[in-house]
Amino acid sequence: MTTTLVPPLVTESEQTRELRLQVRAFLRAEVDAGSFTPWVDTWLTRWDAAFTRKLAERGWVGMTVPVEYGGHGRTFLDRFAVTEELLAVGAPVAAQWVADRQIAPSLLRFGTEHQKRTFLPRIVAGEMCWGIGMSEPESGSDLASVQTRARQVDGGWVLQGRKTWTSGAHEADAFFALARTAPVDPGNRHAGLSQFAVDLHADGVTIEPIVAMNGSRHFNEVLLDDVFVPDDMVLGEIGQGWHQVTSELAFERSGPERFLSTYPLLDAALTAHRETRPGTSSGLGRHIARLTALHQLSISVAGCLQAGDQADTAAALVKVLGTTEEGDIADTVERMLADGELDGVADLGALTALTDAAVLQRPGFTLRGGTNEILRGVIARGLGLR
Amino acid sequence: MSENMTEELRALAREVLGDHATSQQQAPGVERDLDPGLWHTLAELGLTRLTGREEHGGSGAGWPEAAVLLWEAAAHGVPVPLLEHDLLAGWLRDTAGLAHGEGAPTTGEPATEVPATEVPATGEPATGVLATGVLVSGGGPVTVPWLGPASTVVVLDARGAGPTAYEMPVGDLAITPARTIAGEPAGRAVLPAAAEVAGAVTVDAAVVREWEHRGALARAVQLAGAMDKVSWLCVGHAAGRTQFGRPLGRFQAVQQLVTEVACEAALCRAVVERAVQAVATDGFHDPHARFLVAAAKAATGHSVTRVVRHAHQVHGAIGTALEHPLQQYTRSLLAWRRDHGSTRHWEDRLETTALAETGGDLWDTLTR
Ligand SMILES: Cc1cc2nc3c(=O)[nH]c(=O)nc-3n(C[C@H](O)[C@H](O)[C@H](O)COP(=O)(O)OP(=O)(O)OC[C@H]3O[C@@H](n4cnc5c(N)ncnc54)[C@H](O)[C@@H]3O)c2cc1C
Repeated sequence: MTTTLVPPLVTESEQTRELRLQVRAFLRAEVDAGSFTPWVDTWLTRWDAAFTRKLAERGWVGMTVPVEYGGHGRTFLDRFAVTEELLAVGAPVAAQWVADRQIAPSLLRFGTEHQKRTFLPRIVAGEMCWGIGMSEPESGSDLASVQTRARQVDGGWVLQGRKTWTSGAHEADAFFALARTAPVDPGNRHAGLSQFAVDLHADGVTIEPIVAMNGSRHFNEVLLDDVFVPDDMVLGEIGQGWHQVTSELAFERSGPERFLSTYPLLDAALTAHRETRPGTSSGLGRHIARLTALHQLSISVAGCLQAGDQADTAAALVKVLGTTEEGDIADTVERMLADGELDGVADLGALTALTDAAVLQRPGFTLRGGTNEILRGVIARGLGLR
Repeated sequence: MSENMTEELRALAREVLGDHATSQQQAPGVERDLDPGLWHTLAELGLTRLTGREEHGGSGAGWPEAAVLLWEAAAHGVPVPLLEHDLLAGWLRDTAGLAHGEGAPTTGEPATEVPATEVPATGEPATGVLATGVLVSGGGPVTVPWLGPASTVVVLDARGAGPTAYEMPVGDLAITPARTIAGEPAGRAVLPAAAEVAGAVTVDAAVVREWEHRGALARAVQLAGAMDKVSWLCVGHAAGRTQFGRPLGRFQAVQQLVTEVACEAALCRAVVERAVQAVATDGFHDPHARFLVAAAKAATGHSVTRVVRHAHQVHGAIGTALEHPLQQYTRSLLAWRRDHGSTRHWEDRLETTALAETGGDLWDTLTR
């Protein structure tokens, strides 16, 4: 009974560690060459298609995609190590993130041969970027209530509706839109939903910016006005959208971006503290301890995915803990700065800017990908309470 | 030991400790003494000197097995001095080469058999030659755990220029009996300086460091084991108690509390398992293993606050009653959290010493 919540302990193999070190060395060289400035929450806010292609050239995008679809047939543990390295250094990886994390696995699981051959090689090459078309103005946590409709026509479907909070839609090529294909059955609200691969450049698609509270633009509203989607772009089965989207969410929720979004800030603060008050403790030890634990728990979830086991509850658990922790790091560093504990550091301005960015990104951490309240519901179900 | 053998040990421990826990629950007390009958059974099974060297009568096992036993005892709410007797006193005796002579049998067999039904009064050294251990680093009296039942104390004296180890009969000490917040026996005593003790042995400075990490790791394992148990007690209570015509667990507010407990317990389990594994493979002399031990004690200590608070909130008044099993676990959590270095101590040490010793690169250390 007690073993169901936490996956068995997994540690990294020698080969994976070698890969990790290769990626680390590459990223260090890139930082030194000024190819990017490390930042926080870069998997959502730093879109750099050229950098993504550089990573793809080295085989670090779409790693788990089988070779026959242009991929590298690597394990989830390899992918985990690579993504951790990218996040820890704060590299601009938004362009590949959604495609690499959830679109490729969804295609592999539910896509047709045609879809796999069309999309996967381009994702692996870092040439095709995807968004997530789930949320709507009236459907957030209650995803089954989506009102976007797909009407069957000759040769395909016509979509009508409005998706919102679509991160990167203005840069992406496509998204999977979750839409209703049959009227709501009050006895089974999850029935009658389907997923469609929608070309974001198609006729009838309008993308409008939503400006975030810090003035940046990363998400959008996507209007779908009679957008035609051919039959061969239906993902999986008509009517099975709920099952599919749940599986997609398991991939969306389980990665290291759920506890490392502010790691570059922790590292910067620790470095600054050592510079100004060497040999003393800063109080960041609490976060170091919890990140050590989260890293371990998260690897074990990757091990679960690799084994093909159900990881929904464990992934929800890591996400609840991790998104809270990464936000707490921002708060701790902000307090250190406010109390003058880092005064005297060479570049106080840069550290302050990084902290401000983290503090203003924080509210989104515990919302995106399913709120912590909803995830605790998932865990409660795993515990047999509901 | 192989995976299979640790699982066999787990099954064995569950059987022995489970029987004991059931009989114990009939008469819960504020004071929680060692059951000599249980200790005797554990000794017969070779579990009281589980990690002792075989040539000294120990079972020759390592940290994975010790962790299983510590975890199960904690998860069954059974007070047993496994850390003090085996992992500290026994280990130091072996390490320092203290005499395994008369009056210091290695298995911890009670010298005179005490039937389980005749639990001795507080402070009586009725379990004979049970050993306890203590690290002395400052002047004045120190708290020695298990001073009631223990009849011999193995001392690591870090007061002088170089650390020394010695062993002395508890009978030679002037003891003020004490109890931990969990109700386990302890005592306050002034321990003599090594120079005044015959047979004191000089030990390497690394022995003190290892002692500290052994204590921290064992407590972290116990904390994680108890938190795991507490999370299932919460689930059971939320599912079993009805208010407003529904089980408590149907209320979302209660679900949120229970899931937070479960999350913390899971997190602690992960870091503790990793630390045990690192120590088993690389030993305490390895800086990275020590980093993980520090992280494990800091993380588990931190989680205790939320786990205890939420677990009691979920249980309502009944959880605060002595008759309810919850208090056994929450009291132990509170007692162990402060033991062998506070949460703050290990957080600071993690950031400064532990990290410096792995080379100072946090990311490299975290991912190793
Ligand atoms: C930075 C960011 C990026 C995002 N990117 C995308 C994207 O690319 N694509 C996409 O589709 N969506 C995206 N989202 C949307 C995200 O998935 C939703 O914000 C999320 O699902 C919550 O929906 P909501 O914001 O409408 O909040 P609501 O569902 O309205 O919830 C508001 C509050 O009520 C609580 N609540 C709601 N229902 C319950 C319940 N049953 N029990 C308890 N509490 C409840 C919630 O936990 C929350 O605290 C993004 C969001 C953010 C913040």
